[in-house]
Amino acid sequence: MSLQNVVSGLLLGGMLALIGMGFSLVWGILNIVNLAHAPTIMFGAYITYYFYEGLHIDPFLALPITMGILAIFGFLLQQFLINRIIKSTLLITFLLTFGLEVMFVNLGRLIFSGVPRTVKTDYDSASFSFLSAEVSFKKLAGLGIALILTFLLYLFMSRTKIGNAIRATSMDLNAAKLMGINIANIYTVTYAISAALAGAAGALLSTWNSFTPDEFGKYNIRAFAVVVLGGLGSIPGALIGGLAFGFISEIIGGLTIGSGLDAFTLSPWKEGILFLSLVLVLIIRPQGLMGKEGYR
Amino acid sequence: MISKSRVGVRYRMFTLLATLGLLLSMTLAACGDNTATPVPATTTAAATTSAATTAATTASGATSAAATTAAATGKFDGVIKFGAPLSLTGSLNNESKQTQNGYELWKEAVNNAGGIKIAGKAYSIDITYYDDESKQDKSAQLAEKLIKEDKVNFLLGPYGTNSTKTVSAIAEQYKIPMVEGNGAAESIFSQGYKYTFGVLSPSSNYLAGVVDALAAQSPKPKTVAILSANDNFSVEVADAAKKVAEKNGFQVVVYEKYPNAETNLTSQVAKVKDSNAEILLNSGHLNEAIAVVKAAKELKYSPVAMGFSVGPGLPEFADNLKADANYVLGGSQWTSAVKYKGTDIFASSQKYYDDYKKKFGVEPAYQAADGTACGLAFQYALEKAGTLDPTKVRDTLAGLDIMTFYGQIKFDDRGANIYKPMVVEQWQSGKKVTVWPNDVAETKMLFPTPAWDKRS
Amino acid sequence: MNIPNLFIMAVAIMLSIVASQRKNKMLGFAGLGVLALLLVAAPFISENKAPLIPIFILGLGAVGWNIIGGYTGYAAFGQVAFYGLGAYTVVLFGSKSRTPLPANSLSSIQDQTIGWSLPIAFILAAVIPAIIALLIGLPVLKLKGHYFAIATLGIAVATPQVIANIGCIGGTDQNPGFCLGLGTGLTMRPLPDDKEANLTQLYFLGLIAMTLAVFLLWYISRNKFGYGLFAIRENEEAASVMGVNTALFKNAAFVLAAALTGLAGAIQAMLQIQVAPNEDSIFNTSTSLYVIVICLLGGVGTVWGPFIGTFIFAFIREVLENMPKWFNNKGLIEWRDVIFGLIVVLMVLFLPKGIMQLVGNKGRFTWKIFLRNIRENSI
Repeated sequence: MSLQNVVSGLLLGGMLALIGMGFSLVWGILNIVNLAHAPTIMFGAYITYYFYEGLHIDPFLALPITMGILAIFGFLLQQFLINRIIKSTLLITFLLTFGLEVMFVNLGRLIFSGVPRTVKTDYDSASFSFLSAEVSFKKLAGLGIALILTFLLYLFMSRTKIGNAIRATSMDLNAAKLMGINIANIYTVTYAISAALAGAAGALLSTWNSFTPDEFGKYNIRAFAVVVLGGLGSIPGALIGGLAFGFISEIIGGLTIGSGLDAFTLSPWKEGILFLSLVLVLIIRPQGLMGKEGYR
Repeated sequence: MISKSRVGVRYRMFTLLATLGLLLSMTLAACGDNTATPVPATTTAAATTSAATTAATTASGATSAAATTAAATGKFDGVIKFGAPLSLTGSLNNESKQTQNGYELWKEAVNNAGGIKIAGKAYSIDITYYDDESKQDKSAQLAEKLIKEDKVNFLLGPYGTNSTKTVSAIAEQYKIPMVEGNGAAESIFSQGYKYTFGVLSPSSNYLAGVVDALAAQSPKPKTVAILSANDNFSVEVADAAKKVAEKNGFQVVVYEKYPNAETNLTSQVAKVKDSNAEILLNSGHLNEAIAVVKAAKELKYSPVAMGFSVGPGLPEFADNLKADANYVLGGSQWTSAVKYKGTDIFASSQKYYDDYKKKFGVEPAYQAADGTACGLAFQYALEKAGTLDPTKVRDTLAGLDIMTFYGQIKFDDRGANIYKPMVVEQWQSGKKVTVWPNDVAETKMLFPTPAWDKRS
Repeated sequence: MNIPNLFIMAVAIMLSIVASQRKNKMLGFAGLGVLALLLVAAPFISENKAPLIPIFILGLGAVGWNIIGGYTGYAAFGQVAFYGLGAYTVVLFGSKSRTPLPANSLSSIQDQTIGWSLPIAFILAAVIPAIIALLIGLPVLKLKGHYFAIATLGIAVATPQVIANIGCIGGTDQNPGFCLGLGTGLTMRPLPDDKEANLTQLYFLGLIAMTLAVFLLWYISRNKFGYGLFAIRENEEAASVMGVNTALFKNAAFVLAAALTGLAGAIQAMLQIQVAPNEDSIFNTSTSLYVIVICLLGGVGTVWGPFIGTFIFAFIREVLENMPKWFNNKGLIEWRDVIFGLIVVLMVLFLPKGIMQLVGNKGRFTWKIFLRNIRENSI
């Protein structure tokens, strides 16, 4: 373990927070575990890729456009599909999103092919030294964007009328209805925001490593973990959860006990440990590390 | 009440009949594909059309129309059916497509050249593919399907170690010879199976060439760090690399596994950086290889050499890394630079390269050559055996010793081809060149790798 | 006779729908009888019996899921953990050890196994996942709704990772004579002598296990245990107040489900001979979802649901499998999974209670069923 691990953990955490935030919103407010989140991230990554390769638009400049496109996508999806089954059981909504995931991932394969892609900018691997650690510019920018989006979302939720309506809906559905809130519209707006956030995550991810349409499934499970760690439906919670997850993951990856070749390393155990501890957190503190009952 | 239930019954019967009718027509359509082999030339035309198109289309748009038309003109006395479950979708589909192209190229070349001559008769080749979705359970099912429903004479290998293990067990049980080119793990060949042959060099050689090549450089580096994905094949490769490195007098300072398909490898590379290892070896897959290079640059870690088992051989490696791919070494089963004088239809690597590029529009990766070599092994064994009898063909395969564009194809008693050496490729200013062994090298290895900030 | 599997599957779907009807007892029993005949005859009339066995494999998993997910209402999304464990157990205990590698071999990877008899291995393949399910279930079943679902999912992701990292049990890498190398995968040895007989055996093993499992499902549904589970599904607190030992009942259901799923994995291991702790081998996350989709197709929480569902599922897969062949393979392989996803979406939208809704008590088919389902669930 070194300073480098701490820094990388923080940078990874920002990304994971962004992934978790949209997921947490939909789950907390619509009560849907949205497996279609991962393909939305995928679309975000590929839209950014085509903007960069085709039109030579910088991925960070293309970010708002990507988010906009996916917000529309999310809007349509929720309006015409998910709202049609929103009242059925947990299982049914889960299966709907599963079906959507299978469909979108395979459509992704058809449209984008399985060839690995990266958005390779000129500043791709540029980094600066901070004490003994190297900090990547693009990842730092990603962390910054994650923080800004968190802040904006927080403002939106607490300061705007729609935001307040969304919060009211998540707190008490029936009371919200009685207050004259159009629940269907609230759901649609929420989902659109979630899709936009997923798009932002995808856009940033596209600059990190090479990706294929099959890569993105794992982010669903990552998003789960972030939400569970941070507490359901909480925006600051998602940020904390993401940072915690990234941090733990890098620390485990970098941990060495002993020295030389006989040293015990946890690196191959990373996934196993992460998800077992996820289960542990669930059992010990189901409301998450940060969550308080009823707090959004 | 009565009438209601009668309506129900009538309705059910109606659905039953309607569905059955629909299904019958479907299944009859499916039956049309099952043709016995060898078939007289006149009926072949119709029969192969569907099967041959099955084979052809997924291969990047190019079709094997030539094969079909040749069959239609009645040039052939029969068809030899091959089958392969391949990963046309799923995580392995990219590499698997190369293999399929390799099979297709061989099929087309042989069919255009008059087919395979067995005991004075000319047979055309037909290959049926199924998609195993990059899943092992599916491979098992599809191998059975190929053998039982499509009645293939012989099997060509699937893609990947896990699938190859499963299909080889099934080939063994049905006593159908299989030649494979994309399952390199030693554990495939240590099962004592008699019907599986691998044309490629087994896993222990993947990084051995890179290590040997680096041991011959001066000044000779001293320390090696090995990273490996935690799957069957990668662990075998890494394990062998460690042994070869120690044998060559290197000191292995880091030997670490990471979860399979992990692309966030900063913490692992940071550890290697801390150890100041001069050489970084990685045993994994394409995405992981790309991730390692990216992480190394980001952490400003500049080893004198980076070597990968899988990755640099594929054109996508440089597509994704651009200039950062330069200086990277990779073990390769085959490159277009190797200068074997083959007796086969392709004869030389250059011709193979040209033919492939002409047909598919891209450069062949070694996975494609692997596939073609599988076909060649079958072709020679069949012509030599003079029969389609699986057992006799197996025996001939076991004793095969031929020289092809791909290198020597000869199997040891396990069925592994340990006689063909692996070569080492290096990316040099955006081009992939062969740098080891010296007798096939196109140019000298660029060594040592300059630090990241000293590159032009 | 060489009858295509597609045909067998289709007839089985029809017959099981007929057999599941309780309105007309005579017709139901007649359907059941013919269905039994068909299933017994199937391996002998099918042109390729191998693809028939996975019907029972997934079917067993689906019956298992129906107990915990359908009856008890606990949406378990990690059944593949038990499936994989069952597969691993049967190979570990049923496969003979390999002769040690030659000393000069570059590879030091061993996959030593224990090599008891196969029947014992099969029993263990149900028992070991059951024990592990008990250990997991005690804490995890305290969670509710989504949280339970995620916990099971987390366990399903973690299980292969744990197995992959247990390099050696009972030995060291230096002294592999005693080492059970779990991490790199295990291979079933020796291969059965007679492939055809082996497939027939596996088929009947699957058929008998499936029959017993469906019978168990039926039996549970009409005794105290089942009523307890239904009560938990409807309202756990109320059930507890009414005197149902909810903790015991939930755990029993979870353990039963794990045992059946483990057995399913064991049969699959026999088919694919080699198992590895990877996503692309036996720990495929979609398996967890497939068993649920099967229940959804046939009807969640019903006795006949998993049975009918598994045949429908197999039928759809088989059609999609053969589709490229029928349509001259014009890019259809790539479309196959898109279509599969679409089927799931349409099913959930229009027939969330399963295919039986179409032939339910109302008798006559109308499009209104679809519209009603949509209206009921939409906002």
